[in-house]
Amino acid sequence: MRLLIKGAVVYTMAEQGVVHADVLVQDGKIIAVAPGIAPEQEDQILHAEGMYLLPGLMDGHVHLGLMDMESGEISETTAPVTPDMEIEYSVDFASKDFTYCMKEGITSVCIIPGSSNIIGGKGIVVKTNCAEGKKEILNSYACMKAAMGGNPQSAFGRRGKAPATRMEILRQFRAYLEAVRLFTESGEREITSAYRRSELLAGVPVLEGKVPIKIHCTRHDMAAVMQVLKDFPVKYTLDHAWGTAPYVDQIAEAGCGVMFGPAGCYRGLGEGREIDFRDVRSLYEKGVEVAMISDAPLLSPESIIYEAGEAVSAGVPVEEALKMITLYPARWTGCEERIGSIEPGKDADLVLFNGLPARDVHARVMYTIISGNIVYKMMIEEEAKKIC
Amino acid sequence: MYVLKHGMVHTGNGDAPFPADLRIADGRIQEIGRGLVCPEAEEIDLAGKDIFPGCIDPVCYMGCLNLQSIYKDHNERKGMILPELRAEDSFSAEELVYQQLYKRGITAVGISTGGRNPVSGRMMACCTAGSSIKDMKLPGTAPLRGNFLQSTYVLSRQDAPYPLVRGSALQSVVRILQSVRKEMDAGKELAEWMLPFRELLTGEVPLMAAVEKEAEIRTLLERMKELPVRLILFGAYEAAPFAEELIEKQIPVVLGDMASGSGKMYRKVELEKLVDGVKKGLVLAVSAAGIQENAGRDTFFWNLAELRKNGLSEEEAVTVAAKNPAKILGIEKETGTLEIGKRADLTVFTGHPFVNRTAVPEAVWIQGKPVWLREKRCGRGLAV
Repeated sequence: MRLLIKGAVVYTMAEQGVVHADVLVQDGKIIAVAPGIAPEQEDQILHAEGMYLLPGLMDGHVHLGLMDMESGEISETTAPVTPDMEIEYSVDFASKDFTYCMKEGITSVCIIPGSSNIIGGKGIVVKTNCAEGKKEILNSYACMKAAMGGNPQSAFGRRGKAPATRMEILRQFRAYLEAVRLFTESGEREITSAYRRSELLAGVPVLEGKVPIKIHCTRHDMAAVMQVLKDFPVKYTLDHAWGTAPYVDQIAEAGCGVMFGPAGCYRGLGEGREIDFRDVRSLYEKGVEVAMISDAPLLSPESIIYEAGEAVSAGVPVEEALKMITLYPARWTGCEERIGSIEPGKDADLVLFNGLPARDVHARVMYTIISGNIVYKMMIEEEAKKIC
Repeated sequence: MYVLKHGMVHTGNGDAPFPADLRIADGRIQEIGRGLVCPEAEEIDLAGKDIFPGCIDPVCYMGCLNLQSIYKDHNERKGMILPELRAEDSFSAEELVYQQLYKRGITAVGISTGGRNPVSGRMMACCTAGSSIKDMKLPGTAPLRGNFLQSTYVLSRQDAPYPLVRGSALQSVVRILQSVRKEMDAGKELAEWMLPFRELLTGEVPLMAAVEKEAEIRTLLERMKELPVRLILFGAYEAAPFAEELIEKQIPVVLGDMASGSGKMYRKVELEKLVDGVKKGLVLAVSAAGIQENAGRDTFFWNLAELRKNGLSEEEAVTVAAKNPAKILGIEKETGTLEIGKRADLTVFTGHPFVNRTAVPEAVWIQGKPVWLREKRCGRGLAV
């Protein structure tokens, strides 16, 4: 059966831009975006006049569904470099966290290891209907998690282990990438470093520029890590990226992505000293792609919508701010072919709001659609009647 | 003296906004009306702009935390029931001003003692810009802060022998109140330590009671039923089932930060019911503070947006952001609405911030002085 969504204002996040159009869905995929699509007899019709249709929202940096946050399941801290660890083994895909995301319009999340390790392992992208018995992993190796600064320092240095300083963090980071390079150059045969084969294999697609490194860093850590990565042909995102102001040009030149957030904390004294959405605007003006992150459960998942709203208040155009919670996180986690925009051929992961999120303060989710199925609808009778 | 001309005035009383001029002198609003003329005043043209009462966050730890130290200044450890302590004695103007709450339109806060003691101390209302407590403290009767929830017990068991459960925390406070009341009824002279409790029992000082779970709220309301204490619920994430009772007893609710730690995700927060309560007379406010930690100024507005999503109208949102918290902090005679005689604590926005995120603050005034002007485009030669 096909689903026809009629009459919404469609923010495609693609070439079509913002259009008043109908969207036709079949077998979990978008098959047409055009005005006045004529329904066939069997089609399920969703009357969405007055609503805004967006690609399902995505958060590119979360720790949701981890079986037990408190016991530190989030980071494997027996060694500072654990590139072959896969977060998938720590996730409870039946967790209610995912159902909550669905209700807030977030249809995909990138789940990653914590920030205690210099290199923490592999992150995944999963659709948030996974708790409904439909686990669908969009990318089982969406990124390689890395972390600079205070977190590895305190996780290891405090126990009298290395790294205790930023110097040692970057030395180990460089040494690992160097070891992967030598390993690759030998045709993946020779191991000349102390790393295990599986650890080096994990780094191969990273050095090939296929899997981005997702680097927890703020302030001067950003500058230092960009300096190191000039020597390697890798793709990467700077995650958190607080205190960006002095480094905007350097970031634009590096060509990396930025995953900004979580915001909403008080002005602290250390890494969280400057969380300023004017930085997001500066990055946008320099052509840097920024995605908003909640770091959930650090912040509640829907906070990405509020962060996009803060970006709008800081002067970022609304459409661009919405790309920060749809297209850009999809692009920087290797999922752009499947999700992130409303185009024929892409997955029918869609969300209908009663106002434009990031602009209209009252905007809330009316319907969430994942792979063509309505997985959430706001149960106000009047609205429910609109489904025939 | 200033006259703010041609702005759209949102009083905070729930009225529909109307275009008017505001005359400000001696730190207060002297006149509100059309076509005000005052030759000696500086005129500022606010055509196309919206004027609101400054927002008030009724619970704020920033300003008495001592951020740079591991020894926090808002949680004393000498004992558990400490009504003699005053947040203002820990107050650091520098720390509060550093948060730049005023830039976002928050002009006053209730500085609060922390969440680890059944009674942690006396709160203080103050404005968010200034250089010293001397000028920043607002007159009024700020609440006493109490904590009757499980996280208090979890914290206190680390180094205190008692109480070990939230029940005994509440019980200790109720017992003290009962015995003080008995002394009062018998007309006896009260010992000095009893005086703060007398203030609670006479209703002079309200009790800001931190609770979050439904069971904690039910127990608090039940055990306090016989006592004439003016309660305010703080945190209060699961307060919705009690809305009717709270309206009837005129018990205000300060909804704590819902973003940090995914507070909203992990609790049963029924925002639609709370909003429905507001429409029936519930005095609701929001805070960027949680029970133990403070989030930043943005979360104050995110919380309001959550209420807007669930049916709170934009003018009701102004009341929730300014008028209600002023009432809760006992400073409603001073600030919280735009009315003649009140302090000129106000914000000028380029639209309605509770409608559209493109509306940004243009100017923020505290006690009749502009404390912040966006790119100094508003007015001429105003010193910041």
